[in-house]
Amino acid sequence: MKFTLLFIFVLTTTNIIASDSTYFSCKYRYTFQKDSTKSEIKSNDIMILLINKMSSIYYSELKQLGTSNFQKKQLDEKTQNAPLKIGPENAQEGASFFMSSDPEIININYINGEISVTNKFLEDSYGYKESIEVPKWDIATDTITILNQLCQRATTTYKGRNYEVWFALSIPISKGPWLLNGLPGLILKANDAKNQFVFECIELNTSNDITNEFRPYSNVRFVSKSMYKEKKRLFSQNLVEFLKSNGISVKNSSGDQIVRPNKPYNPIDLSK
Amino acid sequence: MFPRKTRVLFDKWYGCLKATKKMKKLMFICTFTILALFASASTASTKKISPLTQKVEVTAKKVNSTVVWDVTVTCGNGYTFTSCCYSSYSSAQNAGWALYFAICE
Repeated sequence: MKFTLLFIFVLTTTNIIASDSTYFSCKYRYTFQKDSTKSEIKSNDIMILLINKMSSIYYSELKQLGTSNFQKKQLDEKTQNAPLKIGPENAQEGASFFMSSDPEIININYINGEISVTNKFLEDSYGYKESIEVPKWDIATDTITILNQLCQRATTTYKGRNYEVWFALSIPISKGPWLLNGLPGLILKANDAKNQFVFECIELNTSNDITNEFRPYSNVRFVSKSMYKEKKRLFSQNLVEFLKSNGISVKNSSGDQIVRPNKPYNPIDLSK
Repeated sequence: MFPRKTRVLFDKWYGCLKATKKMKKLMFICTFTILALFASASTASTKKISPLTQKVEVTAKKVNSTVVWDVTVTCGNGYTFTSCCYSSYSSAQNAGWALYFAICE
């Protein structure tokens, strides 16, 4: 009798552990516009969404690969000063570490309903936390097929932009790319009304091999959302000014401090 | 078919050969085709292997008895700038490449 009970206990526990660690993953092609006035210039990234029962993680695969390869390069004396190969086709060489579109890592905890957004600005990691905000969706009747999945259309206004999304009826996971959530199925395609931000699922699988390369940022300093957004804006718009605000100078060969004009900045999140 | 000057030059090159006019024409075409092929191949390879002139060099120095690192970046067009001061070699190198992309690209 004791043995049977023990057997049932072990079996149940193993099953719970297995189901909790099982990831459902979706790989998205993320196309975005850094300059809102230049619709002809688009940037690309590959984003990974990993979901289990309690949480989800959303991050840039190119950034992870680039960081990992750049760090390997730095540890090797022979290659640490070698030039980086530049261009999106060489993203895995480490260049994406700097070129990556969206180095933000979004972690959503469904148990306490909290979103944690973290980012690394050179050596310093910053982040903010906020509660999950579910958009108000208008679900339409139109359907399309994406990756052999029948998807239904829905629209919303979220974080200052209007979105049209397509969610899979047969995947009952109410998640999606970036912070989009709250539909009866997994969002496989999403775009804002101006097509400045487009997410397209290009691969669906349930393997957890994909998590091997993922490294969360360490020693994250959590600040208010407004402070985080200000740091992100300055870092993206004017690196020289960002360094200057941290007491680091950037001088030309004559010894004068370099002054750079601001670069275009078009954040996906327009909320305060 | 060819201008007179070219024909004279060509006759000088191949004068030692006892070839017919048709053969000479053929040899002339072949020679120039091969030369053109070599020229295009060498141009293409030059583009591919053109040396990267950009550099990110990190140097250590002492400021008030503390070791700090600075990084000197050279863009592809030769423009050079220096950023100072970082607390480690790797942070200087990270910043150097980030500055490269921000300023040179």
